[in-house]
Amino acid sequence: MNRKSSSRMDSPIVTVSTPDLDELIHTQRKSVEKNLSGLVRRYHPAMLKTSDGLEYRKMVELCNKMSLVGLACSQIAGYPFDARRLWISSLFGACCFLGDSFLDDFGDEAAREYLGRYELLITRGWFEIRNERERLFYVILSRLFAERDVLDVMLRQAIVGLFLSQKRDVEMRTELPESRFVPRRRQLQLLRACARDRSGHAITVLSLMLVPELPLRYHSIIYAAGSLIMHIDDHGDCHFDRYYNRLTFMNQVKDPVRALRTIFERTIARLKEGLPESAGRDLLISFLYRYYRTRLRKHRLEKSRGAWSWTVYE
Amino acid sequence: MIAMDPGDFAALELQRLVGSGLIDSDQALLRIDYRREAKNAPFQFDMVKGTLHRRGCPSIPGASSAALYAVWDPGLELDLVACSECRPSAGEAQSMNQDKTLDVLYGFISLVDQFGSVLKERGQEYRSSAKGQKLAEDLNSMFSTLDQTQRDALRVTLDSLDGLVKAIESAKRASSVNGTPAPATARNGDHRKEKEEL
Repeated sequence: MNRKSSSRMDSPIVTVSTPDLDELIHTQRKSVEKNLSGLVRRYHPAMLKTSDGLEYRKMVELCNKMSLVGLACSQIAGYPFDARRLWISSLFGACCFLGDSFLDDFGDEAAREYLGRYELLITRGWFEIRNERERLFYVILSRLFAERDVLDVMLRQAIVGLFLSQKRDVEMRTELPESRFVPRRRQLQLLRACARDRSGHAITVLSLMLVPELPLRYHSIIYAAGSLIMHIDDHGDCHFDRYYNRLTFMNQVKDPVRALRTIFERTIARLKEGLPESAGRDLLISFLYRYYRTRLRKHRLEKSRGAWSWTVYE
Repeated sequence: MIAMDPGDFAALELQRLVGSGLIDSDQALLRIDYRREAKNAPFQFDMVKGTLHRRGCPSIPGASSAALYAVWDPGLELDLVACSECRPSAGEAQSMNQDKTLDVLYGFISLVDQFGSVLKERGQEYRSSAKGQKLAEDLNSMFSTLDQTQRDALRVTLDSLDGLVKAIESAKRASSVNGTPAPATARNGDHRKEKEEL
């Protein structure tokens, strides 16, 4: 544990020991990769070759992260994380990765155009497939939707909530809509809420895909955990986002390290208080702590690496 | 080349049908969007604060507006998450009080309606294929083994299906006469023209 980072975090936050978590990340990554490699080879083989498979490795890392969170959510609700739940988590991670690539990697015009087509998908079920990457995305999405009752009332709202917050994120990316008329404090609130909801809805989709009957009171706490992940992510990507003039709460707030620590500590306290004592709760807290710590380090490292750095982080 | 999974094939083919003009893309295949129905739910759950409110409760924070989930029946958890201001009660809980049998029937009708031309084309192809002819022989021999009561039951089922398809076709004709959507194939032709003009 990095004790220097905060004296307030010396309390036993890490409830799953580091070697155990390392081992879990390692073994789960193998299973995740097994789930995804066939799909990528069949529908978008170029992804395995481009930049020496760097993008594919990044996708596997994101899916592995989703699987760890999925494992924790399943255990919190008292369900085993069996092969099906691992499969669902892998598919969900791949969907998020590819969906985010349409929003982030091909320019603002392409991002807006994708949002329009994705809106048609969730409002009417039609999706125009134009290339291999989109074909892979659509196949993964249809397999994911086939795993559960996608017309479950909560799940439908989470999927639409995620879409709307992505849309808002793209709109606010370069300029806040009312930036000339709104005080800076209010602008920061808008950015913070946008990040909160984007990852909050995403973790809600994942948890509902894994455990459709999750109690409402747990949803709210898991939503907070999702929001924390977004803020941690944004802090890790701070230099990259700044280079591309993308506004986030974490790259606009005056003292981001302090702000993130406050959010982290509040969220961990909520998780401890609101979730039942379980291996899942311990794992979620340990995972968040590890993620927080590694992204603080990433933030420092990326500052010296320059804007073009695209390192794969575990 | 790795073989394509049949489910993937079906999912991809469905999307390809839109481009082929055989189905009506103006009709929804699957609507996940729940915003329309959500407006009628008796409760709203604030994901940020973890509080359940009556719909429109003034104490719902404005900052939570994008994190509200419509809830019809909070079940046993109500007391644990209820807002202390508006105090939602179990008596207000509603399940989706629609006739599910009717929903299934409407679902079936919508599929026949939407994919009618595809089904007809596939049916004609299948009937003339070796498999289809074998099935016709099997059905004939199966039919000959049924007693009168079983034959009557089968006839009623087939007549009902036939009646349903005719009712859908007649409703479609009526709606196109009244100026509402024309058949899918014709409309798709118009779409192509618009694209060319662009």
